[in-house]
Amino acid sequence: MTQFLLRRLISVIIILFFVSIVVFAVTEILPGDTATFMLGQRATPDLVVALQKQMGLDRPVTVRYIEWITGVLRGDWGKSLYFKTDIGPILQQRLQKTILLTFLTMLVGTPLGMGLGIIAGLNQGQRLDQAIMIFTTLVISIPSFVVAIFLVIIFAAWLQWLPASSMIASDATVGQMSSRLVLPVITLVAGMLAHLTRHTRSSLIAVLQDDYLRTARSKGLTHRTVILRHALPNALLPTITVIALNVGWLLSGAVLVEAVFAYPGLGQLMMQAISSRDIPLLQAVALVMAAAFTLSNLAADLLYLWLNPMIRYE
Amino acid sequence: MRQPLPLLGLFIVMGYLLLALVGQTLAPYSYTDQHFADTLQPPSAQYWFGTDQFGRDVFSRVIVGSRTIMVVATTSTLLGLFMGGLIGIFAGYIGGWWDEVLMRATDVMLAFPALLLAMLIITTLGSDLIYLIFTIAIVFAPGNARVIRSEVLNIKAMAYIEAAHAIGSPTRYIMIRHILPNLSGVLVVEGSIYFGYAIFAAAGLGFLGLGVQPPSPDWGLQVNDGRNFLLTAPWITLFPALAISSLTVAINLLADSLEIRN
Repeated sequence: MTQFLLRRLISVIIILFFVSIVVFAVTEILPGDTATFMLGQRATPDLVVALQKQMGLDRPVTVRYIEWITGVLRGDWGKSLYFKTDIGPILQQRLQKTILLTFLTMLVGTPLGMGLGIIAGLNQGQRLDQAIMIFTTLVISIPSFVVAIFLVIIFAAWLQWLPASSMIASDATVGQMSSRLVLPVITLVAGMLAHLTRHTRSSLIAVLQDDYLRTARSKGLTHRTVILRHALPNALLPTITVIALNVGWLLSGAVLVEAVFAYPGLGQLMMQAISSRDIPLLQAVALVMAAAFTLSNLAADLLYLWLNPMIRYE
Repeated sequence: MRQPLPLLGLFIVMGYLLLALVGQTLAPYSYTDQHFADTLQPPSAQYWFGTDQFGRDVFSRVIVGSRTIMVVATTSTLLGLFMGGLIGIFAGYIGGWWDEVLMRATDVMLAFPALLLAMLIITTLGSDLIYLIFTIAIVFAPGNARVIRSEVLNIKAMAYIEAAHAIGSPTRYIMIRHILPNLSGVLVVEGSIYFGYAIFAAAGLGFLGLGVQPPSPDWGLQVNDGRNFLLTAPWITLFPALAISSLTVAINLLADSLEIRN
């Protein structure tokens, strides 16, 4: 067990190391270097050479990579070319916004997804189950940004209940903020819900056919106790993995939803970095997103190990 | 049990494929024609889906846009299946050092959320149709390679492979004549899933402005274009959004049934 844990941790560190190389390489080595990229259409050979010198880009790639990664490890993300300030604080501010959105989505989506899964599982094959499955098929099939557009058309344009944008001023009141968070949160909940519901359902159906449940029933326990004390704890355990994976998806994959609502999170920062050709910022955001994604996958594994007695006591 | 839903899915996907082939002739207007007198018109008998801020016919743009997304999705699916299949067969059948290196490489690729990786690659390559296809193909190839590898491992354990090996068939011959034909079931299922992913990615990248560049008609791009007019002229976004979602729902229905059947 300890050995497995150690192996898993080491492999994650190695993967993150290679991830950082990929992030650096993709933006540095592929056609067109940073200077040309930054200058865009104004790139004349003289200007490019001058800018390369100024930014230290004339030195070998390996030297620049080592400089960059040691900086990142010390918490120094470099300077943003667009914002003209240190990347660290910007990153922190945007990450907080994305974490807020992720947290709210999990808060609403986890009980809802599990609840729907339990209801569907307990009513397997009946109308209610079929309705829930059709609903999850629909929301799983439609891209999140399209769901977001539909919600805006319905709730902002047609019913006029909620604002269409989630641009949040720094002095926004809690009331203003919460009304702007409703649509993004609903969109993201729709995106994560379906997997969780389906997983919970199939897990519960599998558990319901187990021998120990028949034993529990035959020794005279009420249906309620059998479900709550015996079936659910075992059925819900595997869904921990889905939940942790959802966190990873939300932290890194909400780019499109943030774009629809102009929500000032990591995803929007990434788009700003791309459109303003801000390579250091792009590298920083990409690394943070990939790391968040990898670490939540790790968390999924560890949580499952920790909560599953069958593996824990081995 | 007869399933009406997968059939409906198949029907819709085929419909869009047909539209992609002949759509240009069905469109009442050219997708670039700007009717300046009729900007931001709501749907009417003249403009079935209304017009956008430049007075372009939304209906014609949605129809011609089907070609863009279909071309991108089909070619990137085929290219991706080819890459994933090649990696999967090599890693699975030859094994050893090849397997180790290739699988660790997929580990690193899979450590990225797909959309993030796609955004990174396309930003550096530039937004060109060819690069878009290549990017979508490469982003989903690692997951595909994993599935194919595990299937190859199953096939490799079969007695007939051992027999082929024992009578001295060369490795390449076994891979092409014995392994590949047995992968066809998995390849069909994986292809349908891949196609769904590719549509998602193409629409998403288009929406972010990283896909096909204007004035080419692209559903994702159209959804983005109309975003500023959501409150006043929602039809600019509504119809391409409906087109995207009907296609993705149809593909998912189809992929689900293929997966169950396999």
